[in-house]
Amino acid sequence: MATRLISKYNRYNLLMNFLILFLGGICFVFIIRWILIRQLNQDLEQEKDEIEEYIAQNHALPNPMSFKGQIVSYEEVNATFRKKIQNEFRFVKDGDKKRNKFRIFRSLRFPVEINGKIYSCKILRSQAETDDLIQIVLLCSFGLGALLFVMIFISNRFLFKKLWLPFNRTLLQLQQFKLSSQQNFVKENTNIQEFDELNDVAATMTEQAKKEYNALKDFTENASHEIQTPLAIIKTKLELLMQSNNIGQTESEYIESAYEANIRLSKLNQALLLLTKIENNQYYNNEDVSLINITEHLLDQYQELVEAGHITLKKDFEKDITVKMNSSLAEILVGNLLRNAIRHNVDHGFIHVEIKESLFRISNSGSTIQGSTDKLFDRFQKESSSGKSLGLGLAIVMKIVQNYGFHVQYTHEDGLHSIELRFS
Amino acid sequence: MKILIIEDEKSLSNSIAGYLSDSQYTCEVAYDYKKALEKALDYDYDCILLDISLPDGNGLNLLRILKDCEKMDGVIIVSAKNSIEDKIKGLEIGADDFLTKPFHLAELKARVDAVVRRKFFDGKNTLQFEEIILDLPSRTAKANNTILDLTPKEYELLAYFISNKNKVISKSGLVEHLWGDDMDMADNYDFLYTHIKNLRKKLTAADAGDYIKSIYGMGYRFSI
Repeated sequence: MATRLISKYNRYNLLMNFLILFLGGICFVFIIRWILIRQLNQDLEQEKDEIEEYIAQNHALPNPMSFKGQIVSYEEVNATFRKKIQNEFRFVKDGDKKRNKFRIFRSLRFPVEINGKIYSCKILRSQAETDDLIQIVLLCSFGLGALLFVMIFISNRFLFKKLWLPFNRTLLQLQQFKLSSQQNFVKENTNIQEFDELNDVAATMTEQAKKEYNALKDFTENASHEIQTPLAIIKTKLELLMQSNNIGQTESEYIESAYEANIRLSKLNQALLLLTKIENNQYYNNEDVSLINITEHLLDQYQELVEAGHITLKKDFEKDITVKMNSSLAEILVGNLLRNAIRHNVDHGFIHVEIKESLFRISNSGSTIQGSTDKLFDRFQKESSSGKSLGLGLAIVMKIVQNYGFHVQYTHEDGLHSIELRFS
Repeated sequence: MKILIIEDEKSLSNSIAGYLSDSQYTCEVAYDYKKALEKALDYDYDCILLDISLPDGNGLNLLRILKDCEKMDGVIIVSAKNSIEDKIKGLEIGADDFLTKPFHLAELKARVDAVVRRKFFDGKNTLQFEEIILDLPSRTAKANNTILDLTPKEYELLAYFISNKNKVISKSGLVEHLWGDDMDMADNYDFLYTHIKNLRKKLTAADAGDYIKSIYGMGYRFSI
C-alpha cells in the first residue's frame, strides 16, 4: 500500500522541523550564554578598573562589599599572580528562602599592590540572571516549536487538500475518460505551474489518443467498405464461372467452397462494419421501439427454424417495453439473441421469452457450456469452429447494449441458459 | 432492352454485363462519372445500374441530374456502403431499388427484371416460362391454366427461378433472397431443400415439366 503524499510529506517535514528546532535550540543556548558571559566578563573588568582606580587614588582597599549578585573580597597573598576569570560554584541564600542553593558565579581574581603588600582581589558576580534568561529563551523556543508543530500538521492537512484540488479534478477526469465516448478533456487554469503542465500533457495526450482512435476507426470502416468491391468481384466471377457448361464434379466442388468462403468473408466484413458503425454512433435515428412488436415480428420470421428444431416456444408478455433507440439496431439486438437461443438449443428443447416492466429475458434449454463464460460477449468467441457461426453475434449485442446504456446479463445452470436485458 | 452499367470497377461491371447480356438485355458500361453522364443524357435506357462512389463524382448527383431532366429510366443503386442514409437519399431522389455490394448476380437480375417490368409493362404484368405463368400484381402462379397453390416462399422461389432461367443459381443466393441478409444464418439450406422439393411436387402435380435441375455442388438451374 502506497503512502499518501501528505503523510509522507508530513513525516519528513516534522522530522526536519524537529531537528532544526532541537539543533537550533542548542545553538541558541550556547550563543546566548556566550554573549551573556562576555557581558559579565566586561562588567567584571569594569569593576576591576574601578577598584584599581580607587586604590590608585586612596592607597587603600575599598570596603569589601556583598550585595545582591556581587561580592568583592580581598586577601593578602605572598606573591603576585596573573588575573584569572573563571566559574565558581557556591552555596548561597536564595532570596527569601531559608535553603541554601547552588549558584554559579563568575569570578575575577586579580592582584593589587598597596604600600608594598600584595592583595588578591576577587569579584564574584552571580550568573543567576543569565540562567534565568536562558531558561526563558529555551522555554519560549520550545513553546514556539510545539506550536509550530501543531500548526504545520493542521495546516498541511487543510492546505494540502486545497492545493491538490486541481490535481484531483484532473485525476478524476482521466479516470472517467473513455476513448469511445468521444468526450473532451477539459483543461482548467489552475495558476499552478506543475498542474498546468500536467493538464497540458493530459489534454495533448487524450487529444492525440482520440485522433489516433478515430483514425483507426475510420480506417476500419474504410477498409471494410473497400473490401466490399473486391468481394463483389470474386462473387460475381464465381457466379459467372458456374454458368460454364463444361464443369466437372471436382471443379464444381472447388467453386462451391470458394463461393461459400467468399460469402462467409463478406458476412464477417459486414458484421465488423456494423460493430464499427455502432461504435462510431452512426445509428442515431432514435425512435420509440416496441419490444413486443419486434419480438413477434422476428419470431414470425424464425418460425421455420423453431419448428425444425421441435422447439417449444413460450411467450410471456406482461407489459410492453418502449425503448428509444434505432429500430434497425433494436431488431439486430433481439434477432441475435433469438437466433442464439434457437441455434444453441437442443432437439425438442424450449425457448421462453419474457417481456416485463423494463426487463427482457430469453431463457432456453441447451447443452452446458464448457469452461468459462466470462468471454462470452467478446468478439470471435464461439463454442466450435463450425462454419455456421461467425462468433460476432453477442459482441454486437454487447456493443448495442453499451451504446444505449442498457444492461445485459447472462446466467446458465444445468442446461438452462438465460440472457436478460434491462432498459433502465 | 438496354441497360447502362455505371461502375468504376471494370471487372465488376463486365461481370454484370456478362450475366445480364445473354438474355433479353443489351448492356453498356461506363467506368466514370463523365462518361456515365454523357451516355445517360444522350440515350434512353430501360434500366441504369448506378454505383454511388465513382472516382470523379457522386452517383447521387448523377441521379439528381437525370431526374431533373425527367429521364424515365429505371435506376438501381449499387453501393459498397450499406448505409441507411444513402439508401433513403437515393430512393428519395428517385431510384427504384438499392443493392449493397457484394450481391448475387441472380438477385441483381431479379431486381432489374422487376424494375423494368414495373416501368414498362403496366397492366399486363406477368412472367412466363413455357407453360408456367406468374401474375405479378396478385402474386399467383398458373401452370397449364391450373392455379398453383403456392406458399409465399414457393412463389418467390419460382419468380426468382424464372427471372434467372437457364442460369446456375447458388444455394446461398436463394437463401438470401428468401430469408434476407441475416448475418449469421447459414442453417437455412435444409429449409431451402424442403421448399424446392414442395415446389417441384406442386409443379409436377399441375403437369408442368420438371424444370428445376440440381447442379452438383453449386445450386440449381431452371431450364428445359
